[in-house]
Amino acid sequence: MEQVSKTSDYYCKNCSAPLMHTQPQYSKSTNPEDYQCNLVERTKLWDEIESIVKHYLQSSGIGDQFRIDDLTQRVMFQSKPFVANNTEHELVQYAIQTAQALVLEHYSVMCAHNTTPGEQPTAMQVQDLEVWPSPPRHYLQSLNSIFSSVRMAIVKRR
Amino acid sequence: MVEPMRKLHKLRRSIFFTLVLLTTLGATSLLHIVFQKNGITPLELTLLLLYTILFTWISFSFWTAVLGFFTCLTGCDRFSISATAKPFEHDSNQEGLKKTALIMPIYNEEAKRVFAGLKTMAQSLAKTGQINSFDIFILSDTRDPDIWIEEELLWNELRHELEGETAVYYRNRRDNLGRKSGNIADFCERWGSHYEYMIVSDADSLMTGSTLVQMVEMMEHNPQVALIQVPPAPVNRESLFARIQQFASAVYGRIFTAGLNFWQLSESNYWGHNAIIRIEPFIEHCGLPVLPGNQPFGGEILSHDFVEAALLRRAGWEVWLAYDIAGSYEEIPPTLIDYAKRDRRWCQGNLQHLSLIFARGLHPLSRLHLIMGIMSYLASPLWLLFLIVTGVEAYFQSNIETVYFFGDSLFPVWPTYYTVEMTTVLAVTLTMLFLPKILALILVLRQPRVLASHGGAIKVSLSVILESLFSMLLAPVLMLFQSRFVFAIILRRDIGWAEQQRDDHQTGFKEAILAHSGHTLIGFTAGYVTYNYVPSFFWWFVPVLLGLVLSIPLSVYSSSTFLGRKSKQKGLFLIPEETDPPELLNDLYPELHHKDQDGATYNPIQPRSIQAITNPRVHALHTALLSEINYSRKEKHYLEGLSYQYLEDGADSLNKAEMRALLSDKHTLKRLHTMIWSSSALSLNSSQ
Repeated sequence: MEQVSKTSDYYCKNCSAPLMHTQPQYSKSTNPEDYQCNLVERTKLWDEIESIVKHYLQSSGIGDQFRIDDLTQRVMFQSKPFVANNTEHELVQYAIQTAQALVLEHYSVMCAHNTTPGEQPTAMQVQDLEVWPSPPRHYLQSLNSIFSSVRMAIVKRR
Repeated sequence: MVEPMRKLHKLRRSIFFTLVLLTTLGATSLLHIVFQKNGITPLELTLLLLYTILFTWISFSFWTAVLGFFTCLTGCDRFSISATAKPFEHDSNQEGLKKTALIMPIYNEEAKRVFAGLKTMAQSLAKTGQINSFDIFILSDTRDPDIWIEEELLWNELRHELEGETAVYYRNRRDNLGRKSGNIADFCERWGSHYEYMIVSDADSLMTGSTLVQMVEMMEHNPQVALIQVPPAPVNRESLFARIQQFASAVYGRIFTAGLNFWQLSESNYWGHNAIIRIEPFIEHCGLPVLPGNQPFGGEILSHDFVEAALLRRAGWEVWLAYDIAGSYEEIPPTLIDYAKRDRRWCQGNLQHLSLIFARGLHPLSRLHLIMGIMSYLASPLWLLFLIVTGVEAYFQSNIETVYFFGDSLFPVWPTYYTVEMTTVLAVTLTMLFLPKILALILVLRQPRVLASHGGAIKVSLSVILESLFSMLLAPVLMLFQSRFVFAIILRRDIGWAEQQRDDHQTGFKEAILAHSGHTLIGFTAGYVTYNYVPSFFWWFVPVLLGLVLSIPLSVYSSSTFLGRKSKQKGLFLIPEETDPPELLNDLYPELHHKDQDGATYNPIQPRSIQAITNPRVHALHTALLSEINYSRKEKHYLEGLSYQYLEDGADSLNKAEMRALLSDKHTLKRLHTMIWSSSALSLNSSQ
């Protein structure tokens, strides 16, 4: 999903979503204070999303309540451009994705510690374990073929 | 190697091999005298040959124990590797040691035990003031997705706890190429060059901080040494079976390891863990090839440790056994059946060495190590064959009628009896089997502190007698188990046993009947046959028959932790680690019972693999640890299919391999995580 990068001078008075003049679903008052989304239920959805994001961040174990609240606001702010012209599903998905990215960033920084001291590739030198001298090798091969014959005989009998 | 050391090597080995050779010659000559009265039959020749091989094997072990006994009696071996580095002192203001990696290769192990062990080792290391010289690496080859995620969570917890003291690294390999040796090779290739040494630890290994530091110090004092093995003492088990094994190892183990050091010196062996390795020569000389042909003799080298020691020695590096270093522990299988399962794995690995005995350039002693490993398992079918041939020979002998008059002679020819010779052969064999136990007991009785730690003179003597009886009953069962393994491996047949269980648990009668019904049947049949057809042989055969006939109850009752604890209360089979547990072992117990810190998010009903998909914390940690993989288009479709299968049919519809595949790709995982959270948010909203 791509993030909407449109800018706006008008914001919904209920949910602070940036509003587009050209879109018919918004009221055309000259007073920006009167601007609000036509989709009233979005306000309710917005609250729901906020609580889900908060729950998500709380479950992620990335900090105390103060940090959770702060991050929740960050996620909600970043999701605002989506309120106006995206479906409910897209809106929720974007908010979760944003929260997920924040949590992942936190853990990635923490796990970066795991990649030090840094890899320094050094190849293991594969050794030659060739059997020597040849008579015992020949003997072992014969032994192996005897084992194979015995095995085949038993398998055939079965 | 300097000249005096070379002479010492020669002298000690001459003493050892001469003793082995003379004893074997003496015993086989006696048997030869008995057999040659009427010319040796093919059956007798077979018996003589088998007896010679088996007696040489016993003789090796016997003289190792005797020489070890005298070494321990005199206090210490001044040529031991530990004598080169002074014992570690806690408050010493020594300079920092060279950087060492404490590595733990793991494969589907109980994660909680792994990390509890690592934490206690790190805490013990911290007390030495040298923890900064060590980094910890958990090298996971775990395939089970639930254990994999559990390892990551516990790693995160441990890393957090040890922050500022030492670095703790974790990685899970995408594929477990080359198994354990491939796992260690992967570490060496990626991070090895940062470190001078690595200390290899097993999932159930424990080493005290002072022992770890002492291992590094020994290496620093001996730049010609590439590997030092510290013998691990088995501890921590509570079943009767394991407690008896722990006791046997504590009482008899010392003289055997001291004896091994006496004649092996710098051509010792590697046991796979609780050892320190100099990384540079290891990288240079221990890359293991894939052997030509198929398993069991070809393919990847399974028991890598013996081969790696042999390769280091081939390159001129020394390999030592620090027999007198304490503070090194391991845990052993708790039941007879688990013990046999472990033997099954080791058996295959050791038999594979058959094709390496004649590998180019190996030191003769390295070849001997390989042969000794093979003989540990091949001895069983040879003993079995020996018993069968002895029974057949006894049957033929019992059917021969004694003839007193030959030809026209009026004078009778009295038959020659060889009772004295036969009794001597038997007495010598029994002495060689049991004398090491008596010598080890004498050593314990001479040391008041050690004696007290084993419960006193009466308790330790009684324990030795009971242990000897138990091992006598156990021997024929293990002989049949190992013989079956050897034949199965040669015939490339699967025994079909599940994974070995490491923690204490009781063997049920059903499990015991499945494992031992064959042994019981063989015991009864052999008893019936010998009693009816060779009655004179029957009574000699009773100790073997008894073990087989009683194998089911023996297996069940010896696995009992109740009996194990009861015997401990009675002061039987006590080991020093039980009477006066070292701090390290004391610290392990609370760690094992330590509650999860993430109680808020941990859901015991939900498997860890599902948490990695649904739980934000577990998911983020896991995703952050995943590396980027370039999947083909086909693989991407496969992963996408798995994620939809997960969503539509549930997690149970995926098998472990599919779940692992799903958890291996960070992009699929992230997408799936978002989809699950979004849909649950929407369903929540619509329901309101």
